[in-house]
Amino acid sequence: MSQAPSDAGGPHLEHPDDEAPAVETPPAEPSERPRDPRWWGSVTLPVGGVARWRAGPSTVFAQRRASDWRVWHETEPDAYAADAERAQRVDDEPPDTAPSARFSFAETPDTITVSPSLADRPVIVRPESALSIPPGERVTLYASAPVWMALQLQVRRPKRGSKGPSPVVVTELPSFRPTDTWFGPSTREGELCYAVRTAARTEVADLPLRPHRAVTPVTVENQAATPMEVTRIEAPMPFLALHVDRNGRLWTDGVLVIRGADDDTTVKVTPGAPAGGERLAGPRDTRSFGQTIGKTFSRLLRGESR
Amino acid sequence: MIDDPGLETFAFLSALADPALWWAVVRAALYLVVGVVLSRMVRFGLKRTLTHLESGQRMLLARIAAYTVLGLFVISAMRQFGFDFTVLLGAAGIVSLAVGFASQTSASNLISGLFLVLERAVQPGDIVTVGGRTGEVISIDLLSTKLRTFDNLLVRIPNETMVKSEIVALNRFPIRRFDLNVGVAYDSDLGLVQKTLLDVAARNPLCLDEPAPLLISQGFGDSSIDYMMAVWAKSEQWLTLRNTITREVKEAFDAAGIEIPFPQRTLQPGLTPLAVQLVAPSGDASAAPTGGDGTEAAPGAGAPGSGGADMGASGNPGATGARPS
Repeated sequence: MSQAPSDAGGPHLEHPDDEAPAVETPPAEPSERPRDPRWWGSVTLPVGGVARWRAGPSTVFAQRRASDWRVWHETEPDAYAADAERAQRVDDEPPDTAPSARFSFAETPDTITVSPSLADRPVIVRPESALSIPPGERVTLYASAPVWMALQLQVRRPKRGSKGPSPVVVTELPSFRPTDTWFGPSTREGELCYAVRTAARTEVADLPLRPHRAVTPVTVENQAATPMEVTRIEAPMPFLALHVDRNGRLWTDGVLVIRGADDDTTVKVTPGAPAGGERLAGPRDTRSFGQTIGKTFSRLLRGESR
Repeated sequence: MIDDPGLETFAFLSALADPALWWAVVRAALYLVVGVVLSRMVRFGLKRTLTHLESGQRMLLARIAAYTVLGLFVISAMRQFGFDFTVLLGAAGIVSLAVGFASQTSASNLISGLFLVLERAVQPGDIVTVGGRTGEVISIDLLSTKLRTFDNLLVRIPNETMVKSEIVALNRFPIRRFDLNVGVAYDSDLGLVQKTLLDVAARNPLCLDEPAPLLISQGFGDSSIDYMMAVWAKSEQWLTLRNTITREVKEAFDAAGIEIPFPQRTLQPGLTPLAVQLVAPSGDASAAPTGGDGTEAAPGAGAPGSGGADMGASGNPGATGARPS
């Protein structure tokens, strides 16, 4: 059973990107090359074997036993710990604490896969400093949000039509648990989202490479005659796909926001990462984005011109 | 009157042989069948068409409409046998009066139940507080509303009481606020206090970023400077937030060296200070209190005029060996 991402994780404080250490800081390695930020991947283990993944402040251990897989999830207090460690088998003993989760099988599958996935709710991104877009301008902001670590196991499916085992996400663990927030016209209606604060950078070169965060390019076009104050941006994560570029940076599909001349707002998803790259996962919500735009995303830039 | 039983039987058989009677029976049966079918159609039709209403309201209206239709057809069927309902209507007033007096409470609860359902004040699944009792609404029945309290007791509240009482629905809206009252010592750095409280709110993932946490100064209290910290959470997670944030505020205050003071009382003795004399506990001369330099306290220490025993400071009332003279 897949664990809801919103229910996992411990308390952390979200910092603006500017205050966080950058991952590009080269570690003291002989090669003097930055460590590969790709932390996801598969590991095949014998019974009793332990594997470890590290993405930012989160470390996941998984141990294969004869009748169950045991998973430990540890989170550092420093939300911006920028470590990344590719999936690997370790000789260490698993943590001394009780496992966070167990998954029982008659005979445990030998391969476990951990892959990044986007949040299951929209993420409200608040620029740290007020951002104003003059009339007629079109700018692209880059906002990052933490990803979840999705654990997959091969599950035998005795269903009609299924041929052999197939990978199933058994749990999702947040690399960093953002704070909840409410997004709606009143305290009576709206939806629960995650909140992150960001520097809302406008240059790709300025973006720090953080292995546990995915960057969403938000293009805002102001066609109205008055300046547009961007106080918060709702990134519709369930509708976005996840990509990785050549440097190992995670990207989501782009979001295009157009404020029309009559002050109406149009929101579109622009598929693909800016620098191309490989698509890692599709959107969680497979409905057409246009079907829900009227309900959820027409207020994407609510709070403008306040 | 026919006194002869034979004649009576004959008359009965003659009546049975009357085709008009059988025709009336057929017509009455037809009315009943049509009435039953039509009432069912009305019930199912209303259930399907009134989709904008709550299930309880839909059921109620469908039943009322179905029974009305059925009742009309039953009356029509009985009229086929010559029943005269004008007599019944005449008696109905008296009967209603008698029934009304007899079933005043039940009727009141019944009508209150109708209002409860139609007003949608509470619905099954709501967590409500009524008359000091908090619990989950299990059902709204004809005469009463059933609550399941959190200690798993069933509480039956008459619908009339429900209508008359103030009902607080705890989970009707998706998010809910928790107000934490906290007092800090007068020598605290208030800027640090405010920053610490807001940091705690920002760190707790269940505490909503928006609506933003609110910090309201409650003024200068007897022993502390009081604040109210208002934070929001999803209604389902309100209790968890309440428990976690209280602990986190205490931990953050401890880490920042901010004191949450106990109630304090300053005693002013007036013009003459209260004299305090230190005495040794009875039967243990060796445990006699000594001065700060290790010498035994002088018996006269703290005597009026010595200036050494002013009770103006807030002292611990449980201090041993000190007693006002």
